[in-house]
Amino acid sequence: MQLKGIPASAGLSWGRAMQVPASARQPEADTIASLLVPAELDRFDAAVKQSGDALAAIRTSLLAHGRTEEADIIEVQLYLLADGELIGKARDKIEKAHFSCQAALQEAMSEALGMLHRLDPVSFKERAPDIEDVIQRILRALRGEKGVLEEIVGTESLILLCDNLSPSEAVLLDPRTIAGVAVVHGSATSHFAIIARSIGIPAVVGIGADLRSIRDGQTVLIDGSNGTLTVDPPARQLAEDRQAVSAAGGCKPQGALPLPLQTAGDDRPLLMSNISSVSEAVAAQNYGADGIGLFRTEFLFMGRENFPSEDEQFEAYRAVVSAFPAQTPIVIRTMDVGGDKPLSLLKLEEEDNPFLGNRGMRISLKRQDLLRTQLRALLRASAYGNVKLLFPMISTVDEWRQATAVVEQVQSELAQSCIPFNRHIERGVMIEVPSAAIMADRLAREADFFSIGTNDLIQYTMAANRNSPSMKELLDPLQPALLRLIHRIIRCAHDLNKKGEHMRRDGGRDRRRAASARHGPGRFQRRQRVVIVHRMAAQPAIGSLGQGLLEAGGRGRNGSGRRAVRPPIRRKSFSGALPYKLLDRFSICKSDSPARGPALVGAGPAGGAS
Amino acid sequence: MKKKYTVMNPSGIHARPALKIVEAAVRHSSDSYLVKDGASFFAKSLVNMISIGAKFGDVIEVVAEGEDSQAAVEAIGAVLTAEH
Repeated sequence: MQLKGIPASAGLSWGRAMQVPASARQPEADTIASLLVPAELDRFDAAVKQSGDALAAIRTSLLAHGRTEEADIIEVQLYLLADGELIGKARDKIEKAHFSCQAALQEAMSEALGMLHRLDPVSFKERAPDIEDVIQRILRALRGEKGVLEEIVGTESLILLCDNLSPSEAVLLDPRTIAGVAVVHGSATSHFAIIARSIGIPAVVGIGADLRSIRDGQTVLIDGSNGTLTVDPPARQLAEDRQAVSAAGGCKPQGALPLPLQTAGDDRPLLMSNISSVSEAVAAQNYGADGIGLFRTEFLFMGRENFPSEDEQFEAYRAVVSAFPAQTPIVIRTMDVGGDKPLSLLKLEEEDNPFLGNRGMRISLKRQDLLRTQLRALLRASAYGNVKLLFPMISTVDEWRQATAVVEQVQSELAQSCIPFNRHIERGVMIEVPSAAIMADRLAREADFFSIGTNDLIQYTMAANRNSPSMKELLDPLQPALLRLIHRIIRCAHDLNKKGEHMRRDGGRDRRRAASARHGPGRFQRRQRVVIVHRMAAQPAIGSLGQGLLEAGGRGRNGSGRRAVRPPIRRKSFSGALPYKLLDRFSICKSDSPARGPALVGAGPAGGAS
Repeated sequence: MKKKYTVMNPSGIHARPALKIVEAAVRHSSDSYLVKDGASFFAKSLVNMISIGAKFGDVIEVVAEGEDSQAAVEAIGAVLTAEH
């Protein structure tokens, strides 16, 4: 049996299933006799104290391990536990209205959540789990229950199956005991998913109620990269996967790739990593990545109370660039928030359908103050290596022009202040909206490269929410409509390469003519349009598509119009010998030759949102 | 003791500043309240402080009563007017 969910934390592992029952509300009277009130208050105070002690201990342990971000989550909960308006109110309800502990806590929680939702709907999404988590902890203490993870003893590899995992539970996940986590509900951006990624435990969320049909003790193979769960996998498959994982040195592979990436011909595709932090850049370099295919800078903006300053961003970008040799391509995408990645800092209006609302470049163009700060930092970092700018969620040629106009303004500001930057920095469009795919021929005239965000392109093309488990079939990356679109995007990019179209910095004919006249056509550098495809080609299930993409990308790139027939990628180097986790963390690009930089197709970034 | 402040943090009073206000309030014996659009919020409650939803440029009145009310108001005012 195989179940499909949403990938939340990449990696492949297996173990024995352990069902964690949902904590149901106990059948307990809502009010108590006045005689019992003092005893109920004692019970309440003891449970609150026990919860506080437990949280303080967790916090100390997290701090001792340098996990300060997770310790902050717990600190918020400690303050909530001491909050007179939450816990104090619950106590009052016992004392004055003779509520039972359970009823009092639940009443106080719904009042607090109601107020938060009414007054600040944006922070509601982020903070509500903390409030619920604290109240649940006290309720558990009252019943003498332990937390999900506190009850687990022993060192057996367990695959945890649960409804959801709260933040304070998730910080206790121990990779030595827990081999993977599968969750009925949840999203790839929940606290839990972020924590699972940071400690390297494979996780799949949003599987739905089917998850509950797995029995305790059954062997489960979890693939956090594809978002699949295989129950009682055939022995052969398990053996193959074991071999794959051990070939790369276990679940957390260290060091270089086991085999060089090489096709049966002389082709050498670039294997580039998709990252969301500086530490991942360093890890990618250790694995032997040829560069960074996508740096998701929005993670620099999340989980903090102020926007990162220009200097702070510059340091982060420069650190990523410095992790690699000088000419290594480093594709950095400007802040891509909204949709499933809300950013409370922005105080955006709540929308009925955030995926169709303010997202990505739409936000950046409205908040040009933020965009300018980020571009200044990015351009400053471009003095240290081969930084390429990527703009997300572009829907129209006009948006692209607005974005590049800001780049040019920032460039001239920097030039005036004599701050060094790369004047010829490449600028690309992330093609993830069907309108951009349809206009790819026009965008190709102005952009230096395309990056195809297949995740969003699928959901927008198929009108199917990518986080909805029931939309699985529509979200199949082999849907012919999607393949046609991707084919079109790649063809548009390469058509221009074939014609030897000059790269345009200004998007206008006149400037180009003037430039040609000044330098002569020979001096005006010819550029290859680059296409990077995210998320697809390396997945074994669509290996043939991956080959197709690589072949399509190979056509006509050499400017001579000669159709190069690409031999298929040697499968062994792609999927046979590599753990899926590793594959899933990379983009694959093809290059003409290493010296000339990348010229095409890529695949599979890390689990979670792209 | 009451005083008006303008929120100077570009991202408004969010998780971290909310926590800082509670920290500042509980250091003082006076009870303090933040008044925004006529509604008042208890400064010693994190639930209240994260609910206030104050944005950059909002004017908030801080009210405190008690021995150290002036110090309490100023400590909270410092968080409201901090740029980070």
